[in-house]
Amino acid sequence: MNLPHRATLIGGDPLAAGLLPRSPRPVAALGLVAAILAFLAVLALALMLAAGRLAAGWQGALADAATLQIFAPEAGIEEQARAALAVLRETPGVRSVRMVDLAEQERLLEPWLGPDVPVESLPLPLMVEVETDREALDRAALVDRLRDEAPGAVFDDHAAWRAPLVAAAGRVRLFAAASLGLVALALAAVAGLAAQAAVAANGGAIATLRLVGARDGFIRGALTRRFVFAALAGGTVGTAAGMLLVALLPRGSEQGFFLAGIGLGGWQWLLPPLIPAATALIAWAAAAAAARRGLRAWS
Amino acid sequence: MIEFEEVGVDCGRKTVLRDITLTLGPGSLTMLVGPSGAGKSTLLRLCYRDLEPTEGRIRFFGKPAASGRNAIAALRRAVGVLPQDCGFIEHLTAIENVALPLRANGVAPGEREPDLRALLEWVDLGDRTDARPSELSRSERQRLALARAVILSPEVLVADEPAAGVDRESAERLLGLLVELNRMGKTVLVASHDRALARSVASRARARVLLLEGGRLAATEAAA
Repeated sequence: MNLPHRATLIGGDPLAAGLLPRSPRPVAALGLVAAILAFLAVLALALMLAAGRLAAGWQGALADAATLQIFAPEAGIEEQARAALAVLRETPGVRSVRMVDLAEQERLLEPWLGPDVPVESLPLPLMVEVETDREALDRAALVDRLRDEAPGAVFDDHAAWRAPLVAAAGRVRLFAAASLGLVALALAAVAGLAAQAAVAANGGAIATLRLVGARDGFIRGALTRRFVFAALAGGTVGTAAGMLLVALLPRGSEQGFFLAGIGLGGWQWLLPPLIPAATALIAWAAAAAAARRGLRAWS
Repeated sequence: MIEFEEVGVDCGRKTVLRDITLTLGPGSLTMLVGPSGAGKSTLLRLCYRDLEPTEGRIRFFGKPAASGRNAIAALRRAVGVLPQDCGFIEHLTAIENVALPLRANGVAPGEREPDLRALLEWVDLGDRTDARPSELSRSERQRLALARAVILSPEVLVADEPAAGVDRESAERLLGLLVELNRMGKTVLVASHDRALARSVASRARARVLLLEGGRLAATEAAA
């Protein structure tokens, strides 16, 4: 086998370039579809990565955070706080405790209540931020002790709201991954159809190429190379547009509002540039398979 | 070179060729004559495996026909074909069409440009290198197809009605080129419905004329 035939990779044999008549419409249509699908792929990828990031956060560092709220009449609240803090400090699996002062509580409540609400007039509980080691902490034993020694204290490790959020993030990630799969499938279908149409439209040229001793691999290259380049070009434009949109999305806030967290960070920006190559690869594989089938039928 | 042994071809219920036993020896020139529908084109298509026999066997260069499309492609590098309809890629220029076998076989046309131009000169198309096939006359197209058929220096050349649709002078000129190739040692098989023209070729070359009728080889009309 000589070199040019071994070179019949994704782009096809360069000697096959321009052998078949130009067919701008199907090529442009494939390029446009590739651009749209690459754009959607970037968004799906960003959603998938954001959902994964949030789920990891909720399962990781946030899962070790807990709060203790002490509800008691003003007269007894200090005594209950001392008792609760003593229980916490003695409990294995509690790494640290920190009183949340009124000013910090105001800051935390401001986004929900607005800046003009006199927070000090509200019947706020005393709040203690607790950092735990989930593995070492016996939650039930801690709750039992608190009930006995500081009945006004309510321990909340956020499990009630964290679990459904983690599950939701997992589903979002799955949905985004499925969307990526569907995008790939749609591109493959369009590229396959375009190649099938190219085989049908170029019967005379195919017969001539066979007559002069061209192998089917060479003919396949002549049929598919323009689709591969159209997919690559369209994929590049769509990916660039998608990345621009993601870059313009609002960043995640301290409140961790879910939609504000959609985006890419750090090394994740290296992933979208792979999309045009993947687009070209998918278009090539689908077009080559369709051309192979078409040429076999032509025989 | 190519040996037919009791070869038959059926197309559905119709028998197109039967009991063809024939040897195209090295350096031979064979004129295959017969009326339209006699099976001449079918016999030629068997020579370059555009068709497979339904009966009998064909040996190419001393070997049985190998299976697979790559084997067929390899055979077509050794058997040049001048088909009746010429079969050009119409958006390519004359020289690009002649270069097609090179490109299809991994040779950049630029590497062989002097050969391409010399070949076009030989078929008297040296000044039409950049013309599209549609801009050429029937006779010019036939000569262009001949140039394309020999660019890879095949050992065998088959031509299907090369003189059809051209005037006598052009036909003689084209057949003269085929005779010249035969004198260079190529094995040449030419199908023609024009018996007089075949006799004329046979009279000036060591050619045999085979008569094909109703799908059978009826007679050897003339021999060198």
